[in-house]
Amino acid sequence: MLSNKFFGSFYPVNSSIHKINPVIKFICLFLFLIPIIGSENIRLHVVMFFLIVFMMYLSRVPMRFYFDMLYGLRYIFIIIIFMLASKGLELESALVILLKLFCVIENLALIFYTTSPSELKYGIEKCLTPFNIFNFKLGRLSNLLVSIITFFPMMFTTEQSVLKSASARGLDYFHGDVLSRIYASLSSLKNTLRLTIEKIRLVKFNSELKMYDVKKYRTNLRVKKVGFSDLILLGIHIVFVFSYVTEVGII
Amino acid sequence: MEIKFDNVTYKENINTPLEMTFLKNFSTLIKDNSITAFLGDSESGISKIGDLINATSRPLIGKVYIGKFVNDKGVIKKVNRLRTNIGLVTMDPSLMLFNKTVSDELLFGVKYFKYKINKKMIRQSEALTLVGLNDSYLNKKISELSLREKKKVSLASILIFNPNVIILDEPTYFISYNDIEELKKLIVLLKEKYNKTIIILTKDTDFVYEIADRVNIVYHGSLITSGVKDLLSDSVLLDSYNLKMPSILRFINEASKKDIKLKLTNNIEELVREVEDNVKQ
Repeated sequence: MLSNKFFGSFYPVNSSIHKINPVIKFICLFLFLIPIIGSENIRLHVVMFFLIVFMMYLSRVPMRFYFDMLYGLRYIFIIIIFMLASKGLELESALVILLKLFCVIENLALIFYTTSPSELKYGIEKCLTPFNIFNFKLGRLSNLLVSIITFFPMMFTTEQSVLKSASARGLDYFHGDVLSRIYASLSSLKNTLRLTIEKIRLVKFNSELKMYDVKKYRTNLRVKKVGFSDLILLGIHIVFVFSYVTEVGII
Repeated sequence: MEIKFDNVTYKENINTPLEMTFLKNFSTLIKDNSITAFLGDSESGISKIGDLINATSRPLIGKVYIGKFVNDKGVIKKVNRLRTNIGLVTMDPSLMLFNKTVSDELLFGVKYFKYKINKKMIRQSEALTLVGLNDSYLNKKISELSLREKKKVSLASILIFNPNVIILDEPTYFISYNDIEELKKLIVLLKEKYNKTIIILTKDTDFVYEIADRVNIVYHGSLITSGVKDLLSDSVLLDSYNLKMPSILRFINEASKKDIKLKLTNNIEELVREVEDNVKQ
């Protein structure tokens, strides 16, 4: 059964964003980061903001999951707003910084919610293919990256089942106050971490059973094709980069 | 401890594309000191009955009365007083066992329910013996056990704190034929000698037929019908809700088609005697 908490984990519904090729998703993220890091143009940031919101809508992942992600980082936002206010930054510049933060966080959330761990692995590996010339162990590297990315979502799911089981045997979480919830969570933390690590090892083992060689490269029988919607998304991101390049005067 | 479901509806992932209804307008009464079975396929939502009785889930609509406690949308104060009386064994033991060793697992409930057990070692041994394991398992790691052993340890981990109500979700999964026979004896013993209330959530009609006092058929979250176990002789009813007729009843049914009239029996031994009598006549 799926948990009610989806913090950063794959949300299994069928949407146009889920269908986008994972390699294209990573290339788009890379292209997206170029204007985010370099540009100060508020109009470009507003357009990127609306693109992200539109993609969030298309993904069919409930909006509250995206807002949960922002809510989890609320203290960081408050600290940044205070820092900007203390520096006496103009409203427009402050807005650009907040838009940058929103776009980066929600773009990452979009990738995690709409890409399964297996697709993540495929995408990362394909993106790292140019490094093959240095004889890197790409399989192991992409496996490690995916393990890091999926660790926390997996930990939250494991924590739910541990807390439920612990509650049934006296360590209540669901009917207690904040303090008893913290106590239950902390008491279960050691077991949650151990079980999460065991699960990640099991995923790695299962991947090997499915002909995935972590030491060399993936044996993927089905190659994911690049479709029309992938090209449109890539085109939009290239326009963003082009807009940034003209803004700084390279072209 | 009497348990009553009053018009309960339970859903998960509400207002999302993954919304699922497990129970809808579900009402039933589970009598004290009885063996009650809820029969349904894997999409019937019966596994949530255990969670709602144990108050690890809350109903969306309706109330669950467990003795003097009520599980509704609100918070239950001193919930551990309720849970000391309820022992829930989940279908998948991996969801239930989270401690490192068998000993830690057995003593978890004892520790958090603050039981004053002086002879913990004896209690652990007794719980393991009841489920057909021995003391050599105490220091074994949970991750090293087979699914069959895990299933037995999960049952032992609730028997150790001696709850009044024992809920078994798919008890026959992962265990061998001999274990199933032992489990039947244990359930009857718990009811008759120790006055426990046993709730079985399963689709295994063969298992239920021999021991249950009352059966309930659940389909897609709704209670279809309930009654004594003779209900399981209705092949049309069982077929339409994705359930199998118990082997004993199927035998009696097939015999009646050939004009051999046999009385309904509770188990194989009684059936053999009935056939023997019939042959003599």
